Amino acid sequence: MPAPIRLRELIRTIRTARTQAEEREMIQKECAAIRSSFREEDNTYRCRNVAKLLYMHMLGYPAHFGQLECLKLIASQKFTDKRIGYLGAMLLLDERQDVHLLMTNCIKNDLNHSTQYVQGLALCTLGCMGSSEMCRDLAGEVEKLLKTSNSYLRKKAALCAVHVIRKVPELMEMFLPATKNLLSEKNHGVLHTSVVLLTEMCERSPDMLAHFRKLVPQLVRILKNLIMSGYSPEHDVSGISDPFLQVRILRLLRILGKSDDDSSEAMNDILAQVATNTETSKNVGNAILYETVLTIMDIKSESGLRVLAINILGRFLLNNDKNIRYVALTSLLKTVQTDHNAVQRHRSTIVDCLKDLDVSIKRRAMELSFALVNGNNIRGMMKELLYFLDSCDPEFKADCASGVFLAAEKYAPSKRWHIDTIMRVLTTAGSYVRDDSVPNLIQLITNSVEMHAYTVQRLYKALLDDISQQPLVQVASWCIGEYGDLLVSGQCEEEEPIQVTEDEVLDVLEGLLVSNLSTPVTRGYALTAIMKLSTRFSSVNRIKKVVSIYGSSIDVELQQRAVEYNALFKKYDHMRPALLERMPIMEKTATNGPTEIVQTNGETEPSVVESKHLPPVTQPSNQANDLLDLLGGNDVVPVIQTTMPTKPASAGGELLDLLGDLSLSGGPPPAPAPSVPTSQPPFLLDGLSSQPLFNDIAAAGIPPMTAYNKNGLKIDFTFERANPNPNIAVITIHASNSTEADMTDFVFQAAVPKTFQLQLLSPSSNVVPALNQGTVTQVIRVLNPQKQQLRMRIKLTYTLKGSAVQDLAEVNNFPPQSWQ
Amino acid sequence: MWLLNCCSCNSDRLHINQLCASSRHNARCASCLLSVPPAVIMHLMQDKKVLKCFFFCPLQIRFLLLFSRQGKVRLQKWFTPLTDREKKKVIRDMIMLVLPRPPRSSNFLQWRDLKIVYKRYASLYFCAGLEQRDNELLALEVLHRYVELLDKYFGNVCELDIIFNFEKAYFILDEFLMGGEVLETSKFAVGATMEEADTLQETMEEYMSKPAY
Repeated sequence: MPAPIRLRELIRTIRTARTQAEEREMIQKECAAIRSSFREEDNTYRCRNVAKLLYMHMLGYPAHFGQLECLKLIASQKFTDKRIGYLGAMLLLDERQDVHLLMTNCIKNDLNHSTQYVQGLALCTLGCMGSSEMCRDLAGEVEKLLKTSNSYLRKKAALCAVHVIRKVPELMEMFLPATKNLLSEKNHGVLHTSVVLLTEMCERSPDMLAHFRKLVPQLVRILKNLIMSGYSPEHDVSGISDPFLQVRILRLLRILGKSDDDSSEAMNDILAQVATNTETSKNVGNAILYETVLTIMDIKSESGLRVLAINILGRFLLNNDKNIRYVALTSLLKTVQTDHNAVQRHRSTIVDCLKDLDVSIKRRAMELSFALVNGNNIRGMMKELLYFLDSCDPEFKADCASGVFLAAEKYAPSKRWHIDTIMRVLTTAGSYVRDDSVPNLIQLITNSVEMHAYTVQRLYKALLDDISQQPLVQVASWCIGEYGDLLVSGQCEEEEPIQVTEDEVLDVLEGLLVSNLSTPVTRGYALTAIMKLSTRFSSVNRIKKVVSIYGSSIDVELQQRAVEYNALFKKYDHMRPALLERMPIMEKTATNGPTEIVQTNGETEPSVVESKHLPPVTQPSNQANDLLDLLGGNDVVPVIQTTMPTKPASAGGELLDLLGDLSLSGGPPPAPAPSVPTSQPPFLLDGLSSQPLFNDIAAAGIPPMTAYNKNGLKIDFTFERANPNPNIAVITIHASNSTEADMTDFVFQAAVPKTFQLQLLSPSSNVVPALNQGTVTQVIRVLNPQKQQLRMRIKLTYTLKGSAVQDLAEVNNFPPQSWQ
Repeated sequence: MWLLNCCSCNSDRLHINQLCASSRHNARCASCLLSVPPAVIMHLMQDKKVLKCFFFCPLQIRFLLLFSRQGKVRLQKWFTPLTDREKKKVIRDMIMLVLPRPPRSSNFLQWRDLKIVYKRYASLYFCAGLEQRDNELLALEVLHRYVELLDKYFGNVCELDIIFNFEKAYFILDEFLMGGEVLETSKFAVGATMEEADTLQETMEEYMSKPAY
């Protein structure tokens, strides 16, 4: 058999391939040759073949059949073989293939080899891919090498020990004796890896952390020597002596100084020294400064030092290097919670970064800008952010828009400003906003009574300009329907009133109905608006005509609305004015508004939405009116008309429940009927109430109860009726703890009789904080199809002051509303 | 910090830190790099799939990639175990993210929950994936030092040197980085050990009169 071609030869040949197919063909041919050579157990050329295989592997071709050959190479006596064998093992194998365990013995032998380079290869492979089993077997050898005087082996053994500890934390103790003299080492490689090892141990175990705190003076000394020492060509990077080691020491100091006064005190001086003396013209100096800032912010440093740190970041913001600006924004974002005012001082610079061309920087600047908005600067900041929203790339618009909504809701200086801002967002980034912004804006508008005329005028003008931004068009249609009379009467104090006639308004709305740009939902809004105008305008005949035309619309949803409205004109004309009355003012509920979560590139900002319990509300006397209020912009009219009079008793319960929910606790605006084209009357109501916004409004009416109160642990139940299925009771448990110690490992379990079905959702936490400082909430859903009396057995387990507590209880005193 | 069984690859390497546990953050599986939203984490934690408990995630470089402007991989080093499919996905993502970046952009990117630091040297991109808490400015220095080491070894290194001597590029890297941490901070030590190890290799060749690869 002829000698296989050499590696370089193969590479050269493969590189001549002009197409992917040609390359694949060459590789397949070569792989076949290599396979047959492997089969023949050819020892002479194994190394060459594996090397070629590694090249093909890098090009993305399968090379797993070389795995065993790598092991054979490792077992060979020749250094060349071992070198390629270990390289192959690191590239082709990992801890998930059992094959790797076959290496353990070879590595063990090589760790005791007489040549340091062979030992080095073995250490490197173990430190790169050793599995936990392998680490357990070889930790002893690693520990021995950590104590040698050979610095080449010692540094590798130190990092290998790091890997062992990462894989098998309980082996940490074993390396403790060997760490004693590590820091007195002169060789920087050993020193660096030792610091890495110490960091690893400190971060993993509080005991180690306490043990190594005594090293702070020594570390400070090493760092001082580094910054004071003169030029050393071996470790110099643009005038800075061994930045890698400096950063590592700073990082270890950070861990040692964290929440420890004495250690922090001991490192204050050196940190100040590094912060002021480091040369900042090059990236490497800034890398050290950056690390120093992080350390200062993390330990219990003096206030002067903290100001210095924030100022360094402020200087970073002005740096020409984009990387430094990026780092500054990222770290300011981290510190903005703790040092808000200090960061606030750099506001204008941060806002300037919004104009940067680099998307990474823009994103960070946007996040930071939103974090800086407060009641004092909202007008100015919003101006900048709205300008940014106008000009930014589409990928930013959704996040930016929800950020603006959130900030506006929190800090709006006036209602008018709030409405203007949201309207501005809808006009500039309408297609990017979240779905719930339409009902939110409608609610906001309804509640600002004095602004109605102004708003409807503004919206009408916006509609004349542009009907492509659907959310805006929807809000505008709703408002025109609701406040059409104000629009036509031209009474507006805030602005120059515009003169429009009823026909012009109807023209615009009809235009929406026929426009290609309108979505079905928008058309629904428009049709309802036209219908409402029938009581506000005099041109009823025109409206009747429009409505009847859509009675044969191809869109089922639209058709249904039209047919129902038509019926309203014909059969129930006497009720029409009452039905189409203006919507009442809606109170705010906890779940309203843009949800309090700002999506920032995958990470959700901390936010805890407390499930707020609403006080029981008394049923109003005039239920018919409440029913009518429902209409807002919805299609339920005829349904209620027909069901109400016919079976007031039977359907009453559920209906009233729903209605009570909606109108009493002042739910959010009647959102547009979701695009469910069902026409079953009862479900229409359900569709209405299944809007996510309505979630905990349904709780009204069912009083809360205490299910358990013993040994300081109190468990309260609050109720809501699940929509759309009234057979499901949604019970939220609130566990609170009045003892002076936290209850940990808290687990709540519940069981119900067989006629029920129970679903337990995940708890908000498993720790109940002491002294009633917080509650754990958990949601239980009980399906009760037969409407039987609810009974429940609960089991509680938790750990209090180290001892496990377990208790059972029966809950029988559920309020009747919760299950009827 | 906990480790859970990953819901996708079923390895025990789904990292849950404080932020994840309090539902503020997605968690990431260190094996398949799957990002898991808080709701699912709660579910997994409730299922008591908690395996180990420890305090933090290591601060190491997760991977190092070298690829050309044409998107050809020239070197790949992984410091976390991943399957071949996952590796290919990461490589593809990196190439797609980094290559179209306009010139004079910053050298950092956010990808899943890793910080990506990349730098272009002539026709080659050097790209490293770091943990969130790591120092990206220093990572640039690490990349630069590696380039210097290559340059010193090959003498004015170019892409072709790395293509034809890829194993040497790996050997140099292994003397410089180990397990995602810097092993040697001296500029000269790596070169010296490489030279010595190379002579060891050659003398053995001659002794055995065996054809080199």
